[in-house]
Amino acid sequence: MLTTAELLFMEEHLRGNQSLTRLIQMAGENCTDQQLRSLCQQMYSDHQRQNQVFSRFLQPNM
Amino acid sequence: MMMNQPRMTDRDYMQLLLNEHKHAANCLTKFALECASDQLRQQCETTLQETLRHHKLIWNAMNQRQWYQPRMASPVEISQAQNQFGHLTSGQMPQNYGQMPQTFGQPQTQSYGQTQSFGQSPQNYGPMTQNYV
Repeated sequence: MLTTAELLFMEEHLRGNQSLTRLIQMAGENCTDQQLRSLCQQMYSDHQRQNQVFSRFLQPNM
Repeated sequence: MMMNQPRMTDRDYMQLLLNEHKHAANCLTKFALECASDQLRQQCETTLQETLRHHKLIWNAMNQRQWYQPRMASPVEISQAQNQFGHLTSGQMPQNYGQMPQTFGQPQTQSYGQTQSFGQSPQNYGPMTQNYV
């Protein structure tokens, strides 16, 4: 069960983090510097995992 | 007729990612502060730590490439701060201790009590990414 405040912040966090994940993916694909591409790949997987973890709080059994 | 859009550089991407991680850290702090659930608050704190770690990695990458070099405070500015707050180092209270500065406390106590800030910040979340993603 979530409070209304938690739900509001959860929705905004997931929305914002989805956008950020896409931006990181785009940066990883378009950066010319290999070190930066590698940094983006690492951050991309972290953000994907964050999205999965937070979205579990929306499940009825949480 | 198609216009050629200027290509985003590595530096542009890193600057965007730096800004977005700063913003995400701010939002996660507010999120954690509004959590009633201990489990959810813990998740916010864990994610905030990871966001700060990402921010530092981006910051380091930019700083190494001389894309992000914050201006250092001048000796004059430091001296002014020392004059203002030097008494805190010695543990002594200034002579006017106990007299609340007029600017201190007023905005915070009003907004904390009224919680007007709640609900406004989520609407602002992620405005920069919308232009680029």
